[in-house]
Amino acid sequence: MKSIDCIICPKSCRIQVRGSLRPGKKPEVSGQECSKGKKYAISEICDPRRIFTSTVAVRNGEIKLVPVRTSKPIRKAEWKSGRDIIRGLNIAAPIGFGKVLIKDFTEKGIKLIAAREVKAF
Amino acid sequence: MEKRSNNSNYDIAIIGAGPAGLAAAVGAHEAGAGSILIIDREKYPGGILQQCIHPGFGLIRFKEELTGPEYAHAYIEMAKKKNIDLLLDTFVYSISEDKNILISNASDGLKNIEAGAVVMAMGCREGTRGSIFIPGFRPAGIFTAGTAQRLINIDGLMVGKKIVILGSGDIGLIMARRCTIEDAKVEAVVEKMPYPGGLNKNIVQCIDDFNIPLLLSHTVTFIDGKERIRGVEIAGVGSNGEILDSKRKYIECDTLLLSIGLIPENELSRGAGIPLDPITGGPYIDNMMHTEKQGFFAGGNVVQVYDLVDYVSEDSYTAGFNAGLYIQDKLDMKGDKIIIESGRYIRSIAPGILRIGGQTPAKDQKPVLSIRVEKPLMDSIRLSLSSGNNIIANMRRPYAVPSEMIRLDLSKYTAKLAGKKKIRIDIEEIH
Repeated sequence: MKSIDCIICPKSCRIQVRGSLRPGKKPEVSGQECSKGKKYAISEICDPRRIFTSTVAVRNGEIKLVPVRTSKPIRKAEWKSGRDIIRGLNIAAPIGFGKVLIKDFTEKGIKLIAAREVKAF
Repeated sequence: MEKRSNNSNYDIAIIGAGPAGLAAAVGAHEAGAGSILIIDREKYPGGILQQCIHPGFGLIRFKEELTGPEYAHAYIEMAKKKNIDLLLDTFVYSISEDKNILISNASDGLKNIEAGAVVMAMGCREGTRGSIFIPGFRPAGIFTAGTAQRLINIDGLMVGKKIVILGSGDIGLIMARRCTIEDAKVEAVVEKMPYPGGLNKNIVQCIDDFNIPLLLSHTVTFIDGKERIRGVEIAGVGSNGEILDSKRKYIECDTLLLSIGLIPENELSRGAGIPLDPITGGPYIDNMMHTEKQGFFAGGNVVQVYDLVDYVSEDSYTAGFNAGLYIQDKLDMKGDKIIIESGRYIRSIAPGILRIGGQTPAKDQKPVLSIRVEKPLMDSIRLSLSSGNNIIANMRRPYAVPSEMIRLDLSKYTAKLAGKKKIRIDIEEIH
């Protein structure tokens, strides 16, 4: 049995997962208050992921940094490579809200997007 | 939303353009208020959300997980679509009892603005080293966690390389992760209580994910270093709060972040003669988010420190909406005034006053209480609502912890509350 503390919402349900997680098998999941919890608990064991957020340097902008996020959670172990990718970046303003800054971030299909609008200076 | 305004007379003035002020403006507009002004000392609206670049906002309000700037963006867009004036980069010096607001900024100099109703939405500020008297030297390198967050996320300045964080509230936990991502080594998060101050989800994703040591029942007892901080002495804390000499230890560091609590920012409220509750640090407030001073409403962290911005928006919308009704003489303030008393295990309740006119509460009379407990109660609990010896209602919850406010909706019980002067809320553990 594995015990997982859910991070989807502040309730932080403690979820128990019993049985095999191999494809085709149905593990027994208990303790969650919603279906998102069940999905999270299984993914946390098989393929743990987190939304990655940081900031990227802006040139010619009214502010110096634009906050960024990934469109989907990235592999938990890949936060360092995510950080290394954005470290060298320098994006010219204007930057629209939700603009895709990198199309395939740590893996194909996961975008890095601007979480704030930055007007040109 | 206009950037500037030459007007000096408004139906409603809102102090603060953070989540509370923006939601209040939306509420005031939807209630039919004519002219609405938001004043903020920052250059941009959004308040503290702009520096909270992590996700976790909006799950209740928008049913999706947003970062702070994204949540702010949603409300800024809502306000833009309405006819709301925004005065930024502007400091409010004082608000008089008759709602004259003295402001200053670079283009207007000193200026007086008159309002028919005021919504206080100034938020809160952080406790500092001075609030808890940590002995030692006074070197550089000591920041509140929120100041460090601003330096890193807005100004692009890193605070240090070897960091100790005192206090395990959510901001402390979030900053432990943030500093780690920015290549600093977080030596320890030190918490005086035997349990963490922040939400469990933040322990998982900010502390456990990065293998950061969390030292519960410990505190910082000495700050070392003459120019820059060189290290801190920490010690264990016993069950009665006493320092345990056997557990003293020195940790080398170049930075100490303090995440030791938030204080509602109410200097302006005090100046306006609004009575304040010493427990929450915010104005005494009723379920319409009206203070005990006629025509002054309040919403968000200026009332009490919330753990979720979603509820800040909800309650501040109510404050703004009712300010909008008030200005049109449509707010029903004739309902019975019922004082709410806190029983066992309860640290604070806000609103602390219920004012319920009709038997079915209107949209503007939403009787939802936020209750904070003083210690973790991990077994099932029963909340009871009583008047004298009569139990009006019993409600069960699976648990209660200080980091999560209990939201208690009393809509179902308003008929039973009519005519009461005082009610009491008690918590009992059910084993």
